Amino acid sequence: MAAAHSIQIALREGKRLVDLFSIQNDLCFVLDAIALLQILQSSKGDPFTKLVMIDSVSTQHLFDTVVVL
Amino acid sequence: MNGVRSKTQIELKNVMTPEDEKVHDVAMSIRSKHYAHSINNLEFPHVTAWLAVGTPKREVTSVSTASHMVVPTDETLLHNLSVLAGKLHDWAINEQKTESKRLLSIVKDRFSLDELYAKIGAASPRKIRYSDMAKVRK
Repeated sequence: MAAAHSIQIALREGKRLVDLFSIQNDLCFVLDAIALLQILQSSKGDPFTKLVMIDSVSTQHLFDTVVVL
Repeated sequence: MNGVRSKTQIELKNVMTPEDEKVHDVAMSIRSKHYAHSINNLEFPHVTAWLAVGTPKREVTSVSTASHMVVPTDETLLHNLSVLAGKLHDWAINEQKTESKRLLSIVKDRFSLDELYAKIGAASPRKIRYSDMAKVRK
């Protein structure tokens, strides 16, 4: 099997691809956080405990990420 | 290669329909009113002092802090937000594929194979000065 070598190339055109990866990462975080919040909201438990748990999974981070989209 | 992704941000906005923008606006409103710039007493961080009682000596034994969110996210918003994020995620994946092809064609146009192959093993690793890491970008 032939080996592949990586080389650095001086090009400025790569920024958009980097941005797209960055956006994809943010969206993955949003989707994971929403999935977790949905599980917590549908789980049984007293309202106070659930509220504390929802807070602890970084609801604030979720909304902060939404802002950058 | 770093910096603000302003152009991509505009593209992302163009992918959204008016309905998508409404979902985003609701999320933004909740974020701004209840998380980022909360304006009522419930949403400020609370500091609690624990006092010793029932002992001869009166003292503060410890302190704790907590913040209370009065608006947990509701199911409908989470669902709508999930659909929107999924749609934008699909868009980002497709754009990555297109952009990768475009970048490949640029590399092929700009460099000959001889030039590219000559670079194998020729470049020295980029030097990283850890003392620069704490500096503020100008």
